[in-house]
Amino acid sequence: MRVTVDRDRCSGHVRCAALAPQVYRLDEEGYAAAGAHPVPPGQERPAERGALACPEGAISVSR
Amino acid sequence: MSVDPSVDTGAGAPPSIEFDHYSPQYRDNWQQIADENLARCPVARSGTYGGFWLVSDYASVSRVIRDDATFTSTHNMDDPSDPRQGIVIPPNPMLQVPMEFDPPLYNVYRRMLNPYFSPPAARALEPFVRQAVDALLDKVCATGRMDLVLDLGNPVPALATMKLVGLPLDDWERFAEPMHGIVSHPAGGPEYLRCMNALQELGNALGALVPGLREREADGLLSGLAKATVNDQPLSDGEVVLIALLVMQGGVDTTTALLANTLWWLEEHPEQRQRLIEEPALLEHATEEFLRIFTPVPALARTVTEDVVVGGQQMCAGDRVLMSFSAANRDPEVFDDPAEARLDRFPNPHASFGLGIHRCIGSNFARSWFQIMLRGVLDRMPDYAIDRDATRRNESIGIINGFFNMPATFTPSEPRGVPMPE
Repeated sequence: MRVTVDRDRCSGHVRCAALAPQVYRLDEEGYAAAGAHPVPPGQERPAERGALACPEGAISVSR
Repeated sequence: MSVDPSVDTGAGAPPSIEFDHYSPQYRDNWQQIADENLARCPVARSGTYGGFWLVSDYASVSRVIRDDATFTSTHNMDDPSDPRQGIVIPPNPMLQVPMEFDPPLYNVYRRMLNPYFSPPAARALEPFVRQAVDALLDKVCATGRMDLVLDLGNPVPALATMKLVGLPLDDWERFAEPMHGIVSHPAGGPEYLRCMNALQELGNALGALVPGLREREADGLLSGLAKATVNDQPLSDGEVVLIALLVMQGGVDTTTALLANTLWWLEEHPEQRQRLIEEPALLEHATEEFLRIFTPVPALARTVTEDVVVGGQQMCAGDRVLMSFSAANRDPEVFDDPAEARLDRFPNPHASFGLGIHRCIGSNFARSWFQIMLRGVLDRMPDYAIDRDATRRNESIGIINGFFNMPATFTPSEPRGVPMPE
């Protein structure tokens, strides 16, 4: 599974990292690191919830 | 405040309402008014304050707030005849830097400020906030009485904000009092003007600190701003002061309002209070739900830059637009049973910190301070009972939906011997 963060939409709400800190890393400004990231094994459910929690719809999940 | 069917505005004319977000009627009935507007006229024209569009539904609020080119935040302080009068209706007498800026300049300021407000920055301040909460509760716990707003909800965010900005903690009331006055009284009224003058004097005092801070090392945002550059230019003294005042205005009162509304609601719902005490892990989702249902900052404004259709209504360049976050947060298209507070609601894409690039920069601090204060009360005075007859809501909720005071009683307990932080 991979998650992709759209930096143009991410506005730093940090809901993703609050629910899945091992999946969503933050940059020094507190915004989710942009681009595609592999989901560590066992983190699939938090990754999906983190994406769902984003009020900007900035995160897509692909298998 | 509802649609007036007696006003025949002609075929195709927008629904017309008389909406006054500073009125006592709105303060006392804001949920009902939001629900009516959502059902009947999610994008409506109001004649108050020179006329503006009131946008209530979630989709239209999202549309407006995410399109900074068509809906500008710019505030032309030099020319009141310019329709671009910023993010408050009626316009704020002080420029809000950088909230009342647009891209690309806005982004430069925002990137410069973001590191001061990041999750690690919020975590770093947590020991200070915990100590402040413990020390303040120590002062009242043995008496069995406290004011949840005046003894806790006001001082904690104010002290934390002073610390963040790098100002003497003892001065917190000098800043907090006029800031609280500005948001709890109707814009333009005598109390509001007195507080605005007081704030301008405090701004002058801050400005006097800036030249020295340009030279010497010191902790806090004010020192950082004094040394910061935007597009390779140092900030002017005036800009440093305006940014610091905006940060303080944002930090004082907003989290206070969230805490007060939450404590009021939990007292009305003892089974939910018990659940939150027994399941601390619930606080993560519950915080989002309290933010949604109480929406401490109920609305902010934009100005239309080119003709555009929103929610089926034709807006014209120069029109003012008020985005009702509190209504969007009750939109049944997005939230099931929106009037119900569900502590485990998920997902919960509320608009209480705004959406898009102007998202509240203090949101990481707000969540942290709110949770530490709420835990403090639930831990040390879990059976608090509010004296509802002696509690006063803000006179107006046009800027912040909060409380002036909230006296309460509880079973006394021993102080923990925690001194105020320095």
